[in-house]
Amino acid sequence: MANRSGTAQRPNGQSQGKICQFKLVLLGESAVGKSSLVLRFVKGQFHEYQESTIGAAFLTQTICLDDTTVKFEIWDTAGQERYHSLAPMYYRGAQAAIVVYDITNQDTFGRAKTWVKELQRQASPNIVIALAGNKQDLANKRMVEYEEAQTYAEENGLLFMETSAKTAMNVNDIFLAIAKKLPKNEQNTGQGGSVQGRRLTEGNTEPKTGANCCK
Amino acid sequence: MDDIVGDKNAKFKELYNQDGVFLRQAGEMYTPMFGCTGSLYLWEHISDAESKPEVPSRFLEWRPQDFVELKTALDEGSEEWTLIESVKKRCRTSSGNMVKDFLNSIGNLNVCFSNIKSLRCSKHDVLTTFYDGSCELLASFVFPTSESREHFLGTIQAFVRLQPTRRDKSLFIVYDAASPGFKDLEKSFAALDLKTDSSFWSLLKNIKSNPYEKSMEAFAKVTGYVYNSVDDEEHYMAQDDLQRSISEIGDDASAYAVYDIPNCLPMRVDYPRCNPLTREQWRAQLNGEGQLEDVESIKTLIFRGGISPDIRRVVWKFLLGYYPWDSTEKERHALDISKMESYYKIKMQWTTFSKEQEDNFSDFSQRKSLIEKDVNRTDRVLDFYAGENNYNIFSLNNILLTYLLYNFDLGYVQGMSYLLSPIYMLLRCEVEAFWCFVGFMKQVMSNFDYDQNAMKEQLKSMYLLVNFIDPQLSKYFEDHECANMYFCFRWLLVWYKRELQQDEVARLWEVLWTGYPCKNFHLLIGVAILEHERDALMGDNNGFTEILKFINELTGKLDINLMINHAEGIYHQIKDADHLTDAVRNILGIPVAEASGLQSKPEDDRSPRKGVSEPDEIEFEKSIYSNFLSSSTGRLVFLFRP
Ligand SMILES: Nc1nc2c(ncn2[C@@H]2O[C@H](COP(=O)(O)OP(=O)(O)OP(=O)(O)O)[C@@H](O)[C@H]2O)c(=O)[nH]1
Ligand SMILES: [Mg+2]
Repeated sequence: MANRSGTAQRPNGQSQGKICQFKLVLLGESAVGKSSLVLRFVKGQFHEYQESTIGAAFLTQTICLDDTTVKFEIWDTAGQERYHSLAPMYYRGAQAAIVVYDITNQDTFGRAKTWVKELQRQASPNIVIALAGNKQDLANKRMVEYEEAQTYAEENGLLFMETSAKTAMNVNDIFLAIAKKLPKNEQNTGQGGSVQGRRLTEGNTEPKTGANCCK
Repeated sequence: MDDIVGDKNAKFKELYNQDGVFLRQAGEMYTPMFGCTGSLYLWEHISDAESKPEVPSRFLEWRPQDFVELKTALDEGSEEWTLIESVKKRCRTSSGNMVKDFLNSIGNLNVCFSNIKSLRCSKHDVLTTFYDGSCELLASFVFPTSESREHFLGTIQAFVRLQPTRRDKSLFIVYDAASPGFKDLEKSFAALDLKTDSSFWSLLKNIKSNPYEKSMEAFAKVTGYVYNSVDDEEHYMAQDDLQRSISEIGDDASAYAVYDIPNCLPMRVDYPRCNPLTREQWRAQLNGEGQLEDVESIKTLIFRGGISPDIRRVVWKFLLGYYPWDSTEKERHALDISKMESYYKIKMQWTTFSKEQEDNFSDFSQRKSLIEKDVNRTDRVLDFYAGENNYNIFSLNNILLTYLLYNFDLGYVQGMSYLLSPIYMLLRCEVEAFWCFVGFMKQVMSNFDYDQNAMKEQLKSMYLLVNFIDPQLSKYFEDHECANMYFCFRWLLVWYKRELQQDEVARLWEVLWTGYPCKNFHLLIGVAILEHERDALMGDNNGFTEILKFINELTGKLDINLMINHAEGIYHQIKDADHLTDAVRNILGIPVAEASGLQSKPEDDRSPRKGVSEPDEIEFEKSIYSNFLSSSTGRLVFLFRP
């Protein structure tokens, strides 16, 4: 099963290196490449015929950032409009979100904007949102201009990158950029509230909410 | 025997003796003997002048057969494993000496008869379970035959009375008919003019929150009286009397205990899977007209074993409503033609759209592109659908687009391509696959509704079923924020398609399409899987995320035939359970059991229950048999459900 969170945690007093754990959710129209981005980030793989996500999938990946270990609990959701009603269950309590669109499809960009609006309205107030223009390797079929997306991202305070799950371009980078932007000190605790489905009653060493970063 | 008797000189008379009695459960220390067969004895102490008072007058003894043999072998000095072939597997892990030690230390299973306060024996099986005064299980035996069990019950009724409880006919309160106090109690109860009204229930609530511990001992003696009298509607307790009794208890009242009689399920019976329906069996059912003679028996065969691959193509068309079950060969021929015509008519509607028309019809073109995206990643790992420009992918696309126009209100929803893929792969014909897909969609269409209510409903039902079968597991889900069961979403949306190999999907679906043995059998498949994986699910303090991940990773690891087998066993357990609730009954479409007199009185006959909310009743059911008060003045009051 999933890696036990906080296992690598050092006892208080040894302050070199902290471990932070964040809940991150992927949203975006069907087939834009959400699962592919996660698969690339977590396992370094790409499947041409990646199967569509039904319900949701959950994966974890840990990255190192200076003296901090950042553990992402990643929720990959199903993109189709019909399953929209399930999404709040997954983005509730998330500290970060990647909203994905497909640069070869204008509609998916429109849908990404809708997701951003919804997150700004309904997710945790301090959620870090990144916009990913995926399938950058298909730039010759581009329908969404880089500048257009960048302007939109700036206006809305979003991180923005064009990515390719296929070539791995910017995949680690976008996760890294999110990790950098996430608050990693104790003042920011509690912003996510109680994270859905998190174990809150583990050992004493377990951070009380996913939002916390522990020394 | 030594332990319980404590007096080597005591003499005992054998009242009952039966070989081949299987020990299902008992105290923890007997765990190694669970599942062993042995001999059950009922002994009676022959009292004489010398006998000590602590010698129990009667007790049950069970001697494990295998262990008797083993013990003899070991006592004879041989430690070789070849001599103890008959020992059950679980004992083999220990060394010869350990086994010997174990046997010497625990000896046989003894149950003092006076400790038995209730017993459960259902009509449906020969399982018999004994409980003590706190409703703890003392021992649970499976008798070899119902005659041997009848004989046992006959024997014990010489000195105890068995009173079936009112709500649960298979649970009997055991009381000592000869008890000197019994007559007195009867008298003191007769003095109560028992009436009931709604305040009875609020009173009951008080008692439940303040149960009195020691009351159990006396309880068995009282119940006989109360249960005898409940049939007499005049005899209900008056709340005044109860109130008085409670006030008499005074400060001690804080020490009530509510005892839960465990809601025992009938024993799981194994319904072995059979061989798939063969071509010969199928042909044998066709008459001269090519009409099936006995549809039910064919469906039963399919349910029991599935369909052998060489006739699947034909039989699926019946299962999915392409051909009516009672059609003749001639009618089917006509259907082939008409279905082909109508398929192409619908298909033509979209094939003739001009580019311009499509651009102006965004509802269509959006769904069209969704279909394209999905078929392009549906089962591409299978050779049949692999590679660029695969014709079969093209066909899936055609069928789904045609279905889109056939049922535009529903549209295309993700997941549908997975329901079509196995059907097309088998039939390899657009027209047939389309109409069979239509048949399948009729059964599962609501899964794809906008509001997702049907899915939510199913997840809820799944929870209720788990709760009924394995309350510990449902409690775990509850405590770990998983009671919404969303981790089963994929299972239910596409009927386990994503968890199974192609041939396994075919086997499962054809079994489910028979509609046997009950409604929503696909939920029981899920319950069987959860139950099978319960230890992994509950281990490690898993929360929703871990459970979801674990469930998603079960793909390719399920033994679907075993799960069908378990699900059927579970179905029968539920159906035969004495505490079957209406909610569960409705989920599985189990008709209300045949009326058996008292038990099925119309609700209106029980006027005192009116106005009592459901949860109260459920809570009450659990404690119905054992709530009562014992006051320091020696006065006993038993609460029962009117
Ligand atoms: N060329 C190219 N194809 C990609 C890229 N990322 C994903 N794909 C393909 O796009 C298709 C859809 O990718 P998924 O990762 O399944 O998309 P998704 O967003 O998870 O879709 P849903 O699960 O349906 O919501 C697959 O066939 C992928 O192989 C990319 O960066 N470049
Ligand atoms: Mg996906």
